[in-house]
Amino acid sequence: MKLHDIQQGFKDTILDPETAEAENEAFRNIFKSDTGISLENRFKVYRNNVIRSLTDVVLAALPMTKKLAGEKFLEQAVRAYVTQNLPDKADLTLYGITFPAFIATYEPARSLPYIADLTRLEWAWEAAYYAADDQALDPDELAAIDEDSLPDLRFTPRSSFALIDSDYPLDEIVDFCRNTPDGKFTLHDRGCKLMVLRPYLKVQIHKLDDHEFTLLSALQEGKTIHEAAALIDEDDDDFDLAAFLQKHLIRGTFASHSLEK
Amino acid sequence: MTSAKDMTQNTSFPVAPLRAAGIGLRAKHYEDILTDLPAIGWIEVHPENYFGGGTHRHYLAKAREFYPLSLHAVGLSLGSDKPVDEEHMKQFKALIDLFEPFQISDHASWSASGNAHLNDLLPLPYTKETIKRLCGNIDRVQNYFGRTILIENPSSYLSYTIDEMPEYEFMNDIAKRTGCHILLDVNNIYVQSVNHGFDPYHYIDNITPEPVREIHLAGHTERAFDDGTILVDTHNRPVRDEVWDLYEHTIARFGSVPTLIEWDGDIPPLSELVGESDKAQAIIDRHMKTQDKTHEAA
Repeated sequence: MKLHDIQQGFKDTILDPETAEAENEAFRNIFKSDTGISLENRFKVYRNNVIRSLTDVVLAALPMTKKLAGEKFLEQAVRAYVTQNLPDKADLTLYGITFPAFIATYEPARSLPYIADLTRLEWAWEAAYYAADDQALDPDELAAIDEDSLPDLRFTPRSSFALIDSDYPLDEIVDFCRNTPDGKFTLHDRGCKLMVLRPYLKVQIHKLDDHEFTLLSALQEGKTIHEAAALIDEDDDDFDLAAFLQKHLIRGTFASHSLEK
Repeated sequence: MTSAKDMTQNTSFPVAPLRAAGIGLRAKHYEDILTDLPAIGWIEVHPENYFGGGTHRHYLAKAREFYPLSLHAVGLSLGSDKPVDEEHMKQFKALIDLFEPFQISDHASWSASGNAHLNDLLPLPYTKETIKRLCGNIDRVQNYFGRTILIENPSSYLSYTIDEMPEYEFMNDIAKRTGCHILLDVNNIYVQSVNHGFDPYHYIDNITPEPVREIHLAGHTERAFDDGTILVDTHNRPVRDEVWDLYEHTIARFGSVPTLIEWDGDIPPLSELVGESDKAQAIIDRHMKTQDKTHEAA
């Protein structure tokens, strides 16, 4: 038997002990059974190593979901995800980032409608935690720009930047998970808009108002300040573009700027 | 004028270990190691945990100021029936350039088949075909990095009827063919000797000494089945007495080789981990003394 076929059969047997390969005499015969322990039990060790380690990788990114949905429930869901979605590379930094889409259609999670958005937030946090280290745009760099050019400015957000728009109060969930050791969570009927950012070492979650969210989304898409601001009703008194820019320059939301058309 | 040698000695960036025994550095101990600065010879990490930016790289850079570093990979899948992933080598090389490790290693095993990465070190049949595949990948990696890597003997819970040679002969052979060095995991040899029924001392005595440049020690766990017990290489407890005995024998044969305590699950306080590395250091020191006395007598 060629190495290629051995590895293919080994993989299939790990994933499904009932698979044809495990029943296949030729495949079984390449393994010794010298100390009296069955092939099935020996494969169980590998199955456990593979599924357990991958499940742990995904679970480690979901501490808040674990607290709200319960450890046992989440572990079952993650196991189901892992068996259907093996990693395609050895770099597991973002392995599990497609879990939110999985849990959104996972039948047993139907009674927890907020769970897909919560896992989306947790993965944005995880992606920010491992994002490439970059520097915040130095506000002094903007000082040299003449006033007429300001509307044409574009900003590139930091590598850790992410926006979350949810129909559920994720900010309250975060607060509950971090600050309430136990007790029951009451889900209020409102949505929220959040920004995830890692300015230096610590990942931050900021609550955004609707205008901020609209502007940041537009800037993220590569729109100019002028194009982004045009999305907001000009009669809206709450809106202050200068204050918005100052706030996000101080927070370190942007990595760079450009004046290219 | 300052000679190159003086510059090496004056650098604040330690290059090679002064003490032989080191520890695997895990995230749980990032703060403690920088506060305590324990008397260990060196540290080892899995490069795959540092491919991203942020906290992990930050702490590794800090720890690297005080300790020589070994990068011990688990993701190259050198024994797979396909070439090593280019992107993985590229990310690994970037870390080598950044952290200047004194050793680089991975395993004589496979993890990837088709598009799936199974995240475990799976056993290879010891055949001429495997030698060809594995050596092809070791050559590829050594050429890409421009330096020698170490290959570790794995733990295993299954062995093959199609083996054409024992594992020690396989390890000697790949070292001879590729010029790679051997990372001898003494716990893995012990675990396999029980799981497959062979004499671990015979294994050690048949490994060619020259390429052996690193030793690993770790704890293992018994897993009971209805038809017997399998030892599993869990890295979640102290090194067993039987493994310390085998280590004594190993040091007597290979001399003072950099030795690492690996601990990955149920990680104890840093002091306990350092205590295990002190135990390894004491065995090396005792052996070196005996050897000096033998030389004096001669």
